[in-house]
Amino acid sequence: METDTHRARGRHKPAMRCTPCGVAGSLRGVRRCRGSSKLSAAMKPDPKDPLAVWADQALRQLPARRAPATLAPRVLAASARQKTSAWHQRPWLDWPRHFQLLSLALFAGLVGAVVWFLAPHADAVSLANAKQSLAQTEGLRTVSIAVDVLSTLGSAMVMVLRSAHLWVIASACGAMAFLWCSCVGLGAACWRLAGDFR
Amino acid sequence: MSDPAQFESFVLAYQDMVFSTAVRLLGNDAEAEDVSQEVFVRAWKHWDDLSGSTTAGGWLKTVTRNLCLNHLQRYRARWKMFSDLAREDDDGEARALDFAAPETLDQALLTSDQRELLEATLPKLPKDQQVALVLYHFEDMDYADIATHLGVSLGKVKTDIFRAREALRKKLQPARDSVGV
Repeated sequence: METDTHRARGRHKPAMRCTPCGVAGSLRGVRRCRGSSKLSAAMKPDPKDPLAVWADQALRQLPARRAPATLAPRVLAASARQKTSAWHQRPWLDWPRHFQLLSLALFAGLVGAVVWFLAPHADAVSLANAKQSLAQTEGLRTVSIAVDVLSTLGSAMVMVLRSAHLWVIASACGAMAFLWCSCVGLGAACWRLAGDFR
Repeated sequence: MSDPAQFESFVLAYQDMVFSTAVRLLGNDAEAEDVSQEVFVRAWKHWDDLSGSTTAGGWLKTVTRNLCLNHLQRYRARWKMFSDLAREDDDGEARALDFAAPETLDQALLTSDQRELLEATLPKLPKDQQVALVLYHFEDMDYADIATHLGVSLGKVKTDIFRAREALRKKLQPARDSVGV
């Protein structure tokens, strides 16, 4: 039972092969297929169920499907590509840990710097000038109105936050979190129930 | 033996197992090959741990199974795992126990033609039945584990497996009769 790849390379001789799983036995450290011996003994179907016993016996007679000859070359090419590619060419999740931490620190520093540089310029005069220029531009009046509404709402929220006690804010946040979780939970439950009764 | 050569032997030794697992769960050769490649690429990433491990086969099997289930749930809109859950007659275990035709089921020795027929029939089963059946009979998972993995009810799993077995039996029955088994 040698694949084309086996024959072509002439080095791997799967002398013993576990039929259901197709694991060749000549690999160092692999003495037997662990997937079908230990577990299958514990997972015998109920002997009182003849259909289950029949299906189990029939399905376990099926030999392992042969992997296509292109699989091994594809895997080896992909692994070689991965090995030779520089760390910054890989997905961020595959970067070395210290580069991940460094990039996170840099990103946080960049965001902090932007906020630090822009915050002093976001005063009332600058905002008023920006709004005025928006209002003077044809087609952007709607944006100007939206900015007015949003800034009014923002000012109201700031006033409420400044005047309210901490426990009121905490309670409001807690209530919002509770409502959010309830919505998610209710949605999941409805989804499940709808599925159950379909 | 250097790492790449050792890894190549590893791939050659396990490729049939990984591909078999994938193709039986996915029912599609091309998708199974893609998933198998992804499994081995992940194995390469963990090669330091896997190279000397005697549980590498189990690791590969688990990763293959999980990737296949992810693949099925993510990329197959037509696979309605969650859409046709329990029906009114969904006591699969009870129905399975009621089923009795021992005179036709006492022998499960299949001819090569029947094995081919069985292999060809598996991917044609409804996807949820196929996946549940494969997880039970090939991956040695019990009903509760399958229900947990697939996120469906225990009753649905039992019913799906029962229906899949019955479909296989019906499919093989003419062939069995014709060869006098």
